[in-house]
Amino acid sequence: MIKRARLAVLATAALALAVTGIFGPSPASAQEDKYKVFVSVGFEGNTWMDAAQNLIRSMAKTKAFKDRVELNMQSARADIQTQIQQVNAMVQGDADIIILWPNSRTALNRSIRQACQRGIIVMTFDASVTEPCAYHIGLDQTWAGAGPAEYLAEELGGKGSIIVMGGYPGHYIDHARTDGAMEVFAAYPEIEVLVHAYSNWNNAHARQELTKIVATHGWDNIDGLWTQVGCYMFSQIQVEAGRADQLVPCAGNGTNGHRIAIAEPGTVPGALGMKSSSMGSPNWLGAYALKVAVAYADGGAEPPRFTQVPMPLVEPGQVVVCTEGTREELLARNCNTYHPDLGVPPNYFVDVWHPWVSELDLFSALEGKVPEGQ
Amino acid sequence: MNGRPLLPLPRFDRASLPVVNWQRQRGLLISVGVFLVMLIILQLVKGEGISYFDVSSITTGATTLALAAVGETIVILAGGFDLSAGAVISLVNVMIIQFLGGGSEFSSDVAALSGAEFIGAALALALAVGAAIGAINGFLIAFLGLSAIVVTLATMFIAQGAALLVMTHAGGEAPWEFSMFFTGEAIAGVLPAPIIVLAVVIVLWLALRNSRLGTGIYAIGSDEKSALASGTDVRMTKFWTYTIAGVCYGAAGMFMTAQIGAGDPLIGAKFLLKIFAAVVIGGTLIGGGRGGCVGTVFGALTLTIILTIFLLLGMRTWYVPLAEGAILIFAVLGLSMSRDLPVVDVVRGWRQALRTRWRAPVVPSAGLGGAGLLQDLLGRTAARGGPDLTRPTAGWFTRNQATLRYISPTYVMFAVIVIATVVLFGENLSALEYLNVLLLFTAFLAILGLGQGAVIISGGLDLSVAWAITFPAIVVTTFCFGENGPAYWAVPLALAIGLAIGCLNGLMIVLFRMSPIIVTLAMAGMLEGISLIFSDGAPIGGSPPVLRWFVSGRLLGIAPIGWFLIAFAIVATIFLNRTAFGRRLYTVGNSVTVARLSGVWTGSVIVGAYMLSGFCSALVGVLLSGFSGQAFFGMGDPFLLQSIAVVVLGGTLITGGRGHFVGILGGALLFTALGSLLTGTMLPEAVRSIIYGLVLLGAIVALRERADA
Repeated sequence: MIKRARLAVLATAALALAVTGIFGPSPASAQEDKYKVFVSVGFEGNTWMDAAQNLIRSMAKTKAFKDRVELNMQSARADIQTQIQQVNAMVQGDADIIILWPNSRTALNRSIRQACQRGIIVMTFDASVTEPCAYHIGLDQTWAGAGPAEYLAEELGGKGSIIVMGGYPGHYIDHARTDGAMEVFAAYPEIEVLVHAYSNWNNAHARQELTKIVATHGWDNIDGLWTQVGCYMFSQIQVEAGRADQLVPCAGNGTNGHRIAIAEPGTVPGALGMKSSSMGSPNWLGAYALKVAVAYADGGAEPPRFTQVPMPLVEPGQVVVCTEGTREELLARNCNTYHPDLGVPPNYFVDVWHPWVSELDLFSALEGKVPEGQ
Repeated sequence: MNGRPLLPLPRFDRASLPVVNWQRQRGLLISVGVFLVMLIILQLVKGEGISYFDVSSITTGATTLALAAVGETIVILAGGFDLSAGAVISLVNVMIIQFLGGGSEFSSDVAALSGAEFIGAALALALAVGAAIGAINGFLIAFLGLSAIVVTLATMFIAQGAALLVMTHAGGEAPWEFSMFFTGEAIAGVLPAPIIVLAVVIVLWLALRNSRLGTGIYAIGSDEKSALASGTDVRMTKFWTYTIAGVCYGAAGMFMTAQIGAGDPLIGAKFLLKIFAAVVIGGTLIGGGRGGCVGTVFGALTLTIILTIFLLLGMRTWYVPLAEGAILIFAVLGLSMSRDLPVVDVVRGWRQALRTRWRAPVVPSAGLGGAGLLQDLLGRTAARGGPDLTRPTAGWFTRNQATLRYISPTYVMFAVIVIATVVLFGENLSALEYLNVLLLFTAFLAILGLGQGAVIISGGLDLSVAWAITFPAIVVTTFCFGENGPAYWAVPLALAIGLAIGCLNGLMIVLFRMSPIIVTLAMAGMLEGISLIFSDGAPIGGSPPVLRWFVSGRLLGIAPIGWFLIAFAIVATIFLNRTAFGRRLYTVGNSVTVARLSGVWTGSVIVGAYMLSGFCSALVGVLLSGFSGQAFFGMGDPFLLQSIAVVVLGGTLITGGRGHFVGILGGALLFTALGSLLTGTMLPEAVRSIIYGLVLLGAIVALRERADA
């Protein structure tokens, strides 16, 4: 027993030696003319984040940034602890700029503050943190819940039984959006929330939950849906159930399939004329964050702590379908939907473009390509 | 060992030198070795030398994991298992912030307590909450004799729900002094505080290990019966094991709070798998009796350094899960490598065969050589599967009394929940729709239950289920892209992939005698990486219409999958109880040694169980993609714990050897009915989580007496 203990103590002592002995002081980082930009996104593997990452990569490859930016992109694979470690490692890696899609609103605070103290510019996009030294670019999340809720309440004429399908329980964004929506519904005394379920922001899970709800409550007792994912999928469930002619109004986060379903029948293949409002979740925020951060690092004016971007809310009659997806078409028409022939899948989050990132186009999001001449 | 020479003459005395049993210390040595290698790699990658800031940041990053993993190590050393760690970390984190800090409501008001008061109060609260949950676990496991996996699964659900009740979402702030006390500098520029924390933990662990309790922990982990026979108070030892582990999780939660300086009710989610990785890389044997917490601390440091290295290398994250899985496998391989591994026999056989062929190429049978030996090792399943010599003469009830007793509680609870649902939703409930939903979701869980059940009955555990669901689903939807045409080969391909996943799992477990937990954990990581690479970042495409019809269409009133479930249940019941393979599964689960001595080639049975599990997971993935129309990352995630819960609810003994598919089916029905009931209500998620936990506990208590029978 004692011997084992002794061995352990020896090992610990060796470590202590290693810690104090081997590690010299860190020399000042070599000055290069390229900015070291590190990106850590909270998760990976859905089309929203895939497009967001492609857009950041494309932006870094445009003329303006190609020779000025060295990009290193990581994913925390939906784990908070991993992301903390990534931010710490970015600071160790002498980052100039750190761009984050944080997995937690609070967990990265200390790491971010340490980065700021070392003069690193820290930007968050879409999801925010409470640490005040970070610059945030994103939506007003409360409004992102309230906007579609307002549409639904008006569509229902202020009365009816609705299903509220949230995001991930305990997550700040879910909380803010659901709060925003519930506040709207509370103003309509004749609107009753039948069920408050959670989608975990996962279409498969959302479908399971809705299937269970329909079994216990029945479609005939459901007048409306407010959801954080999957209006498109919900419309498909109803079509399969033979209810295509009486689709329940749905308000929620929008994909290409959702927007097409809203379009007037006959205008584009798959159009259903669904009574629905599609709140867009802009994928281009990360690419824009890169632009803002480099401009600031170059000595430009300090950006505001919170750059609130306008929310793309698409309601019936507002669907604009692009058929080419090029810069020229996007600049000219500012479309919010893409023709299925362009290879945009129905579950694709399509708010990939904005005049603020006019260097890019649809194919930057789909394939990480830089438009000709950019 | 304390031999001071009695004679004045200087004399070489072997006993006075520290005698180190290198074989016994191999786990620790390898974990330190891996750590040093990673440190050297980090040094090379950094180029400019590792700075004090790096040391501080790595130790800060590793300490939460190390503290939690130390708790888990103690439980595992005692032969137990604890799933509650992550949830306790979340609960402690939000309790400290909510009750001591500035609260969660978007404010950043710092607590009214002074820095020192806050540190003391937080420490007391964290350790008390951890100890309380640990003591509950310990009481239920040690004194009521309940299964550790189910008890800690239930407390995990309950603690997670409680965390969401305390704080609905992330927010709040802890005082800066609190953070700096634990994560700052002990001696400015020389010694980061987390190193002190780790040193204190190591010292406390060494004290525990050399105490009576410590000896007891190793003793019951090595062999519970011998420990009992030699006078160890097994129950008290177990109780204290879980309580101490709870204290460790509490400490981890407190350190985490200091590290992030705020609250987040989801902070501990996803922690569990990393804890197991740290324990295993630290050289502790899953199953108990060998290992220690010093290695675990190094394991946690290693995992943290690996992340830093990957980042500095700029490795594309698609390859990170693959690399992590490979490192995990190789670390464990280093631990289990010895000359008596089954794989050594196989390789020797091959070599011999080659040599034989070289010298005497005329001998026709030599061509089979190594392959034959491998076949022999895996495939010689002793043709005498066991004819029923004792024809039972008693009535059906008498014969099946024991089985009925452990199966029936689940069905009783299922009936209660169905009645509750009907009463609650009576008017709106459509009987046919409700039946359909029950059959549909029960099908997913029952299929998974067969695979996970077979693995558990054989004495193992399959943690790769989630990704063995997701990857085949991505394969089908990518190749089919919404068309029926490719389905006729894409679906079999996906199922074959499932078989291959299971086969690899089984081979690694059998040939290298690696822990099932670590093999399947590493497999999950690698499948995640492969899925990212295969789908080029995000899965697109869609499932074939024929699959969608199979899951959502109608055939004689209900979905075709409902009929399929009925057929599947019959086949699965026969398969487990009436075939030679099924019987061997139980034999292996009861005792590998006895099984081997009675002529069962245990290797083939175990590989078979994992292949079945891989196949079942792939089948669920394919069906699930038909249900959603698409494949998604994370679509399999909720099914991992559910598959275990269903198997155990069905009366299967988690330690192997007992179980019945009818029971597993009952578990699946119960879980589905409960889910449908809760989803249809306005209960907050926190309360739902707590109810899940309580139902699990209730079921396992109902099954309790039968566990000894």
